[in-house]
Amino acid sequence: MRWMAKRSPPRLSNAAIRARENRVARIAEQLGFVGQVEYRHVYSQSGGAQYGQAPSPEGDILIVYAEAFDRDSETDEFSLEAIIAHECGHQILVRHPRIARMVAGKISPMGEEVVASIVGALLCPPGPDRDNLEYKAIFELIAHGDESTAASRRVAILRGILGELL
Amino acid sequence: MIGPKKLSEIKQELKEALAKEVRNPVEWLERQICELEKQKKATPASKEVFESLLRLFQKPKPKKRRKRRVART
Repeated sequence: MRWMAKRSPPRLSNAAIRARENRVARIAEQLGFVGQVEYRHVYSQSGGAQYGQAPSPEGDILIVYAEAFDRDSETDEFSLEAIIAHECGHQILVRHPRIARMVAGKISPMGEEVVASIVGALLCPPGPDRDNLEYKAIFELIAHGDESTAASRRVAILRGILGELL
Repeated sequence: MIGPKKLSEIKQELKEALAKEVRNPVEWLERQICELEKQKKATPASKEVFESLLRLFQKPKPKKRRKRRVART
């Protein structure tokens, strides 16, 4: 089952929307995102956030949607920090000099999602967000045909490599 | 994109996939951690992935209830 957003997010006051914008900007800054950060009070099909690559890092964009806040408020769901960390992982994947060189032209869209989750996990302090992003990375590999033990080993190896590069 | 799959379902399916493949996932995970501890080249980061998977199979500790303090009058 997928996380199903209702048709539209609830109405919020301007102050509440500003509070969301500020929270998103603060988390993105703490996680090291470079570029523009936006909060859009709409539902998307993304799961909560999206990263967009521009010609230069300063032009990159992180858009966080209303469902990220809905998920954050649920128990046993990805937190806002984890959702943003995953998108920061996408930016590092294409912007980090060594990592970008390592993966350029050699990685599938699914592989990008796996690496973004692992990098995102490394950006989070030890704790549930880190664990949950690692589960996501392993799950992604299993969903694409890997055995669970092989997927776990692959993620462990990748985390070791990426941890040394970051 | 993190995608719309719910975290609770990711965890459940991950547990089921491991349980389907190895008879005792906890034992298997503990063995992976031990093997990585023995390897000189292994980074702590690699070991942490198996440790986080191990936490998936452990029951969460019950939250301690705070004692309510009664204000002295």
